[in-house]
This record gives sequence, structure tokens and C-alpha cells, in this order.
Amino acid sequence: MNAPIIEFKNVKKCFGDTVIFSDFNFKVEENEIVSIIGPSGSGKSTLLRILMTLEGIDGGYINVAGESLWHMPWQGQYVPANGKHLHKMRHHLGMVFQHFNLFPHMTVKRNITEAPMRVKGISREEAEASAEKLLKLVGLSDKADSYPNDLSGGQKQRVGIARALAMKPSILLLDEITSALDPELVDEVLDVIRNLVKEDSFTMLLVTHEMYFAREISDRVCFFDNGAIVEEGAPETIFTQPKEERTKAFLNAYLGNNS
Amino acid sequence: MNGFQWDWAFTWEVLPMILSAAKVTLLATLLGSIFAIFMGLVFALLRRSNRGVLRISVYWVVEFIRSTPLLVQIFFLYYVMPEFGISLSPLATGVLALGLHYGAYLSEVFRSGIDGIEKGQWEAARALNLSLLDTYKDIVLPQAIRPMIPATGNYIIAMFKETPQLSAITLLEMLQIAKIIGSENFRYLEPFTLVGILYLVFSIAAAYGIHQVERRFPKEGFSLK
Repeated sequence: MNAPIIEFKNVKKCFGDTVIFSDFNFKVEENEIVSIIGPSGSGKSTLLRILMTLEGIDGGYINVAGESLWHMPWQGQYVPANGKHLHKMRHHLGMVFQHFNLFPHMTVKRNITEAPMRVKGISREEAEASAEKLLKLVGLSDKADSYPNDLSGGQKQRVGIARALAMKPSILLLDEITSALDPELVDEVLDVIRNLVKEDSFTMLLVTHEMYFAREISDRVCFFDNGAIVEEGAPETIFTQPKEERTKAFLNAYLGNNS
Repeated sequence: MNGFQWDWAFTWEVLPMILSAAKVTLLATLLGSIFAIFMGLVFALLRRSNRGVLRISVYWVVEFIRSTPLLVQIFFLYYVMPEFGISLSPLATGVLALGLHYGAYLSEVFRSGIDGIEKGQWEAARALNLSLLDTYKDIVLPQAIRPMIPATGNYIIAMFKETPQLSAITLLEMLQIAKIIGSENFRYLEPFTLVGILYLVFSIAAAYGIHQVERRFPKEGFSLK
């Protein structure tokens, strides 16, 4: 078996006096789809934000694609990573945000082409051709020249997905991508992800409150509480035969008693 | 007491001279604004640097410039800098002084404009691996410009009204010319009145122009296609 593509080793993370992770260990294999569920404030989003280098860590090590994320070798030891190292490591990762975070002053097309042009130095023609393909994939070919504020929430999030994919990350991080959407718009976004994993293999880490979606799409589901994985396993097992009391209580609250 | 009689013939005679001096005033304001906007941006960005020493030094430089009179700065640049081998024309000195002085004030405007950009925009830029330069250039500044327009405009108008201070280093701007005309002809009423009216007209026109720019500027920011 190959080395895991993501590995957290004894990771510690605090916000001031609040300890989020005290000794966190976690692995994701290549091309594995892992859903993270759990109550809010349990550190689910922080996990993704640390991977995307939006938050630092206060201890431990994280490996991504065989290299340390937050550390780099220097004169025979590991020292905190500098900007250049983080820049290199971010090429592996892409993130879709709960609140979309689209650039409101850019057309949909430019939202998608900006990073490939600026970061990878791809020509505008090439970047736009690839943006058109991505827009087709997310079903928004007719919106290329619109601005984000003219789109519905579901459309915005589909652009968010296309924008992340444009950088061709090998690991895709989805941070509650449907939480800010009206219920009737959730499926159009989830359908994009369904098609995506059907057509291509991705390592995907998603934080979600859509239990049915987590059950349907994941290879593994992790139930998080208080900065630790309380229970993890195949989706069928977690959703139908949870072992831990906390998991049962959480799932009952979410799904009702009929599960 | 003939000074209190408005003399139209004299008015028309001196108007061209005052208008040509107005060009100097406007030129100093224009170049001063460009330099002030540039310096303001430099100060604002340096004050966001993650190097503490740099951030604090720039803070004190800005405080120093804002807390000392413009006239002192003008004199310093004009009379002291030559001792260090840098001597500039009155116009260049004036532009430098106005740019530095108002750049210090504008840096606060720019800083609060930049602070107004949502955290999510920075995070998206980071997740897409954009460099800091590209993040400012393509993401942050295009969105921060609109809220900066009114305050920046007010400072530019304020700068315009401060240009007479440059007469102290012999720049022949409007007020200086009006004073010369007055002392040569022993009549001050018409030249000074004309200068006042021209200041009023230019200020109102500028305020109107700034308002129009703000109104027409897209709410989302300078658009990129």
C-alpha cells in the first residue's frame, strides 16, 4: 500500500486558550473520499483550513503528498515552513468555501482564469479554454460573462468548484459547501460533486451536514467531536450501526429516530 | 479710498496673469496628488507588513509627518536639503512636500479601505496560491478603491487649498502672483477676489467630479474581465 497522501501526526492547535486539537492523528489515502461530520465547533473546518494553510499549527507534523506541509528540512532538521515552501505545497490542494468567496469584481470566467494565469503563467487563451470546459462541467456555460452578484447561491458555489478545479489540485477540500444555500439549491451543487467523482479520481475531504450525501459519496466517514475522531468507518457502518453513544446521539438529532 | 471701488478694466487686465498662475497651482496639485496617492499606498502597505520593525518605523514616520506643519516640511525640503547636496526647483520641492504630507494622511484612508475587504477574499486568494502582489493588485485594491474615493477626494481638495503655502519658497502660484500684482498697482481688491473666486470654482468643480466618479464606480469594485 502507498503512503497516505495526507497524514496528521500529534497535531496541536489552539485559538488563544481554546484547544482545538491536543494530539490529533489522521490519515487519508490517495483517491479516498472522506466525509467529516460532527457538531459545530468540533474542529472540522479547522482541519481543512490547516491543510489549506489558512491556519497554522501549534505542534506536531502534517505530511501532504510525501512532504511536510508546515515544516521543511533545513540543515538537517525540520524548521517551520517559509512562504516559498507553503506556496509549493498549496499546489496539491484546492478548497471550496462555505461562503463561496468569489471575487465580486471579476466575471465568472475571470474568477476561474485568474489563478491559472497568475500562478501557473498559463496564457489567457489557454486558461479561458479550460475555464469553458469547467463551466460546462458545472452547467454554467452561459454565465461566463456574468458577475457573481448576478448568480444564485447554487450557481455561485458551482463557480467556486470550477475555480478550485482550475488549479488542478490532487486534493480537494470542501468546507460545508452547501451550508449557506437555500434547501432547493443544495442538490444542483451536490450533483456537480457526484459527476466529478464519477469521471475522475480525487482525494476529497469534505466537511458536511448533508448526511445522505456523506453516506452516498464517501469511502469513509469520520465523526468528530471536541477535536478528536470519536468514530470512523465505512458510511454504511457509521450511519446504520454506530458504536459510540455520542455518534448515535448526533445522528439521531440529525436524521430523526427512523435511521 | 479708491480701493473699495471695483475696477472692471483692471480686473480684465489682471485676469490672464492670474489664470496663467492658476496653471501652476493646478499642476502642483495634480503632481502632488499623484505622488501623495503613491506614497499613501506605500505607507499603507508597509504598515501591514509582518516585519514589526518596519511596521513601527513607518507608523512613526507617518505620525511625524502628520504632526508637523506643512510649512515646516516645505522649508526643510527647500532650505535644508541643499546642504545635503539635493537642491530642487520650487515646483519639485512643492510636489515632494505636498505628496509626502498628504501621502501620510492618505495612508490612513487606504489602510482602512484595505481593512474593509472581507477575510474570505484573502483566504480565497491564498487557497488559489496567488502571490501577495497579485492578491493586492487583482483582488484587494480593485475592491477597496470605491470606498476610498470620497476621503481621498477631500484630501486632494484640501491639498489644492494649501498650495499658497508654496509661495513661501517663491513658487509663482495664484496667490503669489495676485500679491505681486497688488503691490505693483497698489490695488489688492480685484486680484485677491479673483483668486478667491477661482479657488471656489475649482473646489466645487473638483468636489462634483469626485462625486460623479464615486457614483459611477461599480459597487463591487474596479471590474476585471
